[in-house]
Amino acid sequence: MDKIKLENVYLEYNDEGNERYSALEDVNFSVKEGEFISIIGSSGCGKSTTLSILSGLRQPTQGKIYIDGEESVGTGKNRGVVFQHYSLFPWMTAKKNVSFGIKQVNGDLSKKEYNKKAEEFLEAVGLEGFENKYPFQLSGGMQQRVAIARTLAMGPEIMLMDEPFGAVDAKNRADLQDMLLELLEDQDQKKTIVMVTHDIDEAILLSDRILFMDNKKIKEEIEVNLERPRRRQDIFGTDTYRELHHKVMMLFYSNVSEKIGDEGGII
Amino acid sequence: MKKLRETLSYILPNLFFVLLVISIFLPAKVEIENRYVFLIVVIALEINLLVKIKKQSSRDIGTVLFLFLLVWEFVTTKFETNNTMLYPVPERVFNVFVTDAHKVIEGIFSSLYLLFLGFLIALILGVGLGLLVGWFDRLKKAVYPIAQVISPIPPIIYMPYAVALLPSFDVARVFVVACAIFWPTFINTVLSVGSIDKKLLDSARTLNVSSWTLLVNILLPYSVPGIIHGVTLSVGASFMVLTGAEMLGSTSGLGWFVKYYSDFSDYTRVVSGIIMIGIVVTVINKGIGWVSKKLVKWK
Repeated sequence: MDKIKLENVYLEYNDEGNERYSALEDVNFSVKEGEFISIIGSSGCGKSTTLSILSGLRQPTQGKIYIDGEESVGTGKNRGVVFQHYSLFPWMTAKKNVSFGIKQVNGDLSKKEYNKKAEEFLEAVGLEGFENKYPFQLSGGMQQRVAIARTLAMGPEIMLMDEPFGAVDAKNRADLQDMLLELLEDQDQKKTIVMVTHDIDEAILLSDRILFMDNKKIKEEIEVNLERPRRRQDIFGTDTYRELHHKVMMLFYSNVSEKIGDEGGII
Repeated sequence: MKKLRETLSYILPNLFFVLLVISIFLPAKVEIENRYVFLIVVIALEINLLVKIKKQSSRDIGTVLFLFLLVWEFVTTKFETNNTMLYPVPERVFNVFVTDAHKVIEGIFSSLYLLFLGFLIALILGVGLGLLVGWFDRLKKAVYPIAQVISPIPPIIYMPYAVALLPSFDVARVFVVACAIFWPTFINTVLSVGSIDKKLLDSARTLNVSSWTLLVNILLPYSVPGIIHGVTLSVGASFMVLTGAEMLGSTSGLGWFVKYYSDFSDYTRVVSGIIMIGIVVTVINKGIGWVSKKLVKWK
């Protein structure tokens, strides 16, 4: 049985001028338990919208979402979300942010246990010594580490990530990707993950399958047949990697040229 | 040129201080019972200036303040023509704090007590209702426009009616003080809740927080800076309202003190009372600033 299944999902809404606007058209895909999939595409293709529907923040106007075979409406404790930014509560320290998350799923622990668990997860993301800092005192990369620690600490079966490293500089981004790879291997129970990104390298490095989205639809599915555990330095030079990269790249480019064709050379 | 200005800014406040001290000891043309209270105040101000002399703004404040005191002292004591009833002498004004210490202290505490009660009531109601109205959009659309009509009405205007309606003058005074603080608190809370970043709300929703947690752990702490901003703006005004309300049917309080002595044309005491009100409001504002720093560490 699929862990996640989207069936004929459409999303339409009225924009400010009260005109009907379509954000998703007939989106179908499924994710197996323990699978890591990336949704990739250029901005405005509907990838973030798809994720917000998966998280339950938005409801599709048509179609259904199934989780573990049951129809899912609204947010749920089985899903944790990591956003690109501004997801930490600025009035809580790093530790408080994490323990606040734990408290929402596990209400009957003592304060000491919350703190202990929060500290463990902050240590796991390499933030030992930063527990009592407020978000404004942390760099963007560190804030994302806290957000990841919070989501992991809540122990959801499904992790949804919306361009989690999109606002982080290249060096930190690589560090965070490596950290995520390691963390996911360490988990007792394998998580099902859907990540939205526009970074091809990131998608190949992390995922088992890549969904290419364009113009509100899923256009292409690409299997990433690279063995795990993966390490950046081991896979980046390989032929499989180069082929995959080329394949995804061509998808981006062919779509650009199609658009140019459609709109008479306007880019 | 810049250097000269800098040097001058060091010299001027101290020069005015020295001139002021000399002027205090020069023979006066009017009767002065005790010049030492004023002298102590002036010396205290100078010590405060010397401690903060490195700050340009402190030096400038010192210059303005000592110049003002110097002119006031000189003009009111060195000419026989001065009408000391209408233009009180600073030595006498500050001496009132000693001769009338009992009444002044009693007045401060009486005023602060009423202020505290009104403050507490207004804060609880303003924040509580503000969170609810701010969060429920339909409620906000119904209530906020009405609040905008009522809130600018000067609360002191309710006083005569409140006196008739409520059991005592003091309850009526607490009521008008509460009105003065309630509206800015309420409106600032509503606006803060409305301005919360949608991303933070999404983040809270994906954490599956309950409505109560959302209100208390997300919306309330998010609104605290806005609420404090509203309180800071309104506490001075509320004190004004209180002193105004104390002018009616009261036997204590700083407002009463000012009103009572102006009925006797004792403007020396009136000016002392006014200065005291200024000091109390400043202390309260400093206190709020301190609390706000303790409460909002995250900005």
